[in-house]
Amino acid sequence: MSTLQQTAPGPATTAPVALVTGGGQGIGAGICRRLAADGWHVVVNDLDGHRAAVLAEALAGDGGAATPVAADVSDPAAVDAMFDRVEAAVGAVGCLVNNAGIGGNNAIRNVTDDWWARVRSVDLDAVMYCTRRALGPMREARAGSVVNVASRAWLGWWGQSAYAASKAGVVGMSRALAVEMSSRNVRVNVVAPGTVDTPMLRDRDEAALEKLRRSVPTGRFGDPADIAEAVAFLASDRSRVITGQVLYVCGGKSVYAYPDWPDA
Amino acid sequence: MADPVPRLLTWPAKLPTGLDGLYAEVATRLGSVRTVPLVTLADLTTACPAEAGRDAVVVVVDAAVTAGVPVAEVLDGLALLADTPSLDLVLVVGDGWLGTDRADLSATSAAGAAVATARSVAVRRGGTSRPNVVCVPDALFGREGAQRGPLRTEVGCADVANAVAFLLGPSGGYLSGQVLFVNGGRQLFSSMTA
Repeated sequence: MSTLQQTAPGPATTAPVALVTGGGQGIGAGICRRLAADGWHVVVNDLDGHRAAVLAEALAGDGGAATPVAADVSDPAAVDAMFDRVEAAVGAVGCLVNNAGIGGNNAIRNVTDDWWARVRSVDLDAVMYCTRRALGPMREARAGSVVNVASRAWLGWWGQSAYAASKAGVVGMSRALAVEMSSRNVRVNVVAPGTVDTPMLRDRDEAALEKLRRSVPTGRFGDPADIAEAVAFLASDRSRVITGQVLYVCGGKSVYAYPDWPDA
Repeated sequence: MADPVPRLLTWPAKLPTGLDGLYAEVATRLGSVRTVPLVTLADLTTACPAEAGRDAVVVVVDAAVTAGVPVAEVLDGLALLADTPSLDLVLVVGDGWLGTDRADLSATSAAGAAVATARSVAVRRGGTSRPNVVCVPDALFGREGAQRGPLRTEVGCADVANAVAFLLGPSGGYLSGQVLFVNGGRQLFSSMTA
């Protein structure tokens, strides 16, 4: 399939720069691989610098251009410093993918102030810190794309009050910024994954996983590559007239009017 | 027996000026496909026998209505799409179904039915089709209104083709029952779109 790439793969200094937060593993790593294949110079952010470095090296080994950068994106000062370093090393960020996130099940009676604040700081506050910083150069350049990885869970799910609240915040902020930045030709979109086979799933038992799998109309969990394809599309000029979209990459799970599949 | 070359089934044949060439552009992006124009949607039943391979289908719903096909016939055709197994399907509709004071009501009702059809086929138990919707500015069908949204860039045929090919190809393999707005962000103020 043809793609309208921003530019051909080439030296680090000429390729457009994409920064992926939480890019070291899981969905984030899939996104980094796909964007590198599309010719982006991928800045792999992760809380774990070693994880980011290992992936960046692997991407370079596959012929891509990549730079690791360790930073805690829930710390606004660390975010600003990270962007300063990235701009000095490889140039302004043309595509920001806010992927870093934490999750977990907690019935409301078990939602402590600390848990609520922790989820919000990574899943919502960090998205604002990174986006606010990235949008400055994008406004000036009159070009840019922000892709925020939310979750279909924002529609509501058992035990997901903290996570859903933060992801709903991401959806609302993305739509507001899509409007606010539209006259500057900067696009803001959301990818809302369904259940994806990542380390975040590994703590579930097999019976719970099977029940979860049956709740997906296409009958399988998503793969990080599925999410990465959607992010790559929204990052590229192929989607140059798409903004404020919430794209559910969920095998159809976001469609149900009511979950009356077997054993719900 | 599966076709050696995947097929791209298209309907209707006549597209409005703004989308002229859409089918060819989609075929180019998908690579090796054989384009098969359907004369009516009822031809699906003969074109897609149950034992055949997986087909890609593009139906530009609003173009059919604009071309004078009665809405009842379009709705019957959508029902056939629901009953045909193993389709990678994209329905292209105008964005008037979200609500507009300039609506051509016959077109918007067909578009709304198309969205409902795509979503229901997506969750049909035991179903194997992967339906999605591409929603474009009503202006592309010659109706009153702008060809862009808050983004200043006008929506062109190539943009629609990019979205359709994204959804039909392997890149859209985990997308089902979704509505992709290729309209410059015109959907943003509608509560139907998150």
